[in-house]
Amino acid sequence: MSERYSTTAAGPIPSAAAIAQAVRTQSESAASVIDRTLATIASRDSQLNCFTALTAERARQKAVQIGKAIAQGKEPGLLAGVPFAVKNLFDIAGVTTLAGAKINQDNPPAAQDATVITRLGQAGAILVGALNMDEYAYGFVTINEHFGTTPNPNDPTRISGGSSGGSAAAVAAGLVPFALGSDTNGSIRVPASLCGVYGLKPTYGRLSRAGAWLFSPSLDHVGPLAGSVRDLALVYDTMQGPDERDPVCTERPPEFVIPRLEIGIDDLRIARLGGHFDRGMEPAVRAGLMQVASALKVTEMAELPETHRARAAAYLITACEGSQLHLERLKQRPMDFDKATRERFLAGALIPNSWYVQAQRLRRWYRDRARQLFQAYDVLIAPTTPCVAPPLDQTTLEIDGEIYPLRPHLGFYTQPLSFIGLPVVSVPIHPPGQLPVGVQLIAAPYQEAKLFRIASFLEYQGVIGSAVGSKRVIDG
Amino acid sequence: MTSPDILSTDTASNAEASIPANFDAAIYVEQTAALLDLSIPPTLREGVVINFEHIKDIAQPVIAFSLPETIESAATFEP
Repeated sequence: MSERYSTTAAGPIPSAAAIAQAVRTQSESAASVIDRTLATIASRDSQLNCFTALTAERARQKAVQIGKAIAQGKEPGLLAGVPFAVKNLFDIAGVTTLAGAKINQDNPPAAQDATVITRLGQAGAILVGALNMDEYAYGFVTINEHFGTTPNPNDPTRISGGSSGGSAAAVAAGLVPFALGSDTNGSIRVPASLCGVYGLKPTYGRLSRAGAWLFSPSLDHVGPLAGSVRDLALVYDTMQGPDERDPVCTERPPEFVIPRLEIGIDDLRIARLGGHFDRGMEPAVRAGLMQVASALKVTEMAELPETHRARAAAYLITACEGSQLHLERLKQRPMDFDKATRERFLAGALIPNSWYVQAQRLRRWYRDRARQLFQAYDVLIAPTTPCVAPPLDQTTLEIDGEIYPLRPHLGFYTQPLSFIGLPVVSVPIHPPGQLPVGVQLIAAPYQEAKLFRIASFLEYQGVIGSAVGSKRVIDG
Repeated sequence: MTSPDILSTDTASNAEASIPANFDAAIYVEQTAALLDLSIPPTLREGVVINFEHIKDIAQPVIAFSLPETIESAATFEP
């Protein structure tokens, strides 16, 4: 799909694909792209509160390098001149990795970049800063006691979701064409859904987590958020590959999705997940889900048994591993944790080991059920979040007469899937005049290409599309 | 009515069989924290007990679920 390329400072930044093309063909210099991006962030981020650090000097130097490379006829990289930002749990050389925590401000600056940042840099992408998040990734709201709230760009009285809320909001607001986040129980997919952008949680171990501050190593993933399917694919392909620095990173060679975006979906068997995944959602979410199901001609329902136990087990593993990771900090500085996390972390430190081991064994059992399901289907669909972005002060959610505690319920549909490491793309639906909702496309491990094929088909059909550039996005 | 969310479709009979009804979370929190040399500030004690009660409720459907002995933990270690 062609895209109008604008270099005006006022509008949202163009897509990564469009910027890379413009820089490559010298329609705009990388230096100009970066100046414009930094100016937009400077004028708008006081309202949006996406950024916790800017890497302006580094970005300008990198832009000059790219300009020189192009002038010398060298290959500038697939993402030449494309600005991006990362959740502040990724190491950035020379910057202290906050992971949303005041406690981490006392740490020395990172000695080197996270692997995924290095790979993006090698492809010509330019890092412009670090983004807000829930403390130590333990939350779905990006309301941070130390670094403030990142509101939803579609409606600043509502949450952006979390824990990668700064990443989703920065993309939705058009500050950067893509951002990186992490996802343990839904922390890429939930904010992607609530902000109306694309979010990829790849297969567990598909992308290196080296240099990312972990939360629950058994369940931690990193991945991109972007405003279009092509951008999401470009960034994902750039980051793939084995990495000795991450013990869970797969040694499988990359399987690039870009060459497969436009090959159609006729051969794919698609079903909608029932049971747990078919209850507890607002009508707007169901409407979006059914829109996608209809466009894909989905008639079959599939069942993943015991999903409520899977979700509970994911909760236990997260609480246990997260608290162990922070045990010394909990002993030394409990009152310096965010009030939203400290009592949960302290309680998680006390979990008996037999509960944890049982949860890990259940993970294996549930994975086997999913493997059986993927013998019959290639892709499954399910909602991403049970509701549109709730108001900042909302604490409960009422659906079909049931009242749920809001914050944990945001992970109702995402948590069981990251539990077993399945690749998922959350795709945005943004009806005119309404808040966006997300739908999860779910595949068997390492089958990301199937997800991208479906997302590309849906985007081309106009069924899905991001909120980037929407008139509803708050102006600077 | 208020749903406990994460537990909403659990089978109560299994859950009751798994954790004793007279379990006292406050004592458990105090004793286990002492064992770990984890000093819980007095102002946080009540909240930690409430959170542990919540975790215990969440754990019930997991520990009550019967798994074959052949199902081992999913973790891998490469020497």
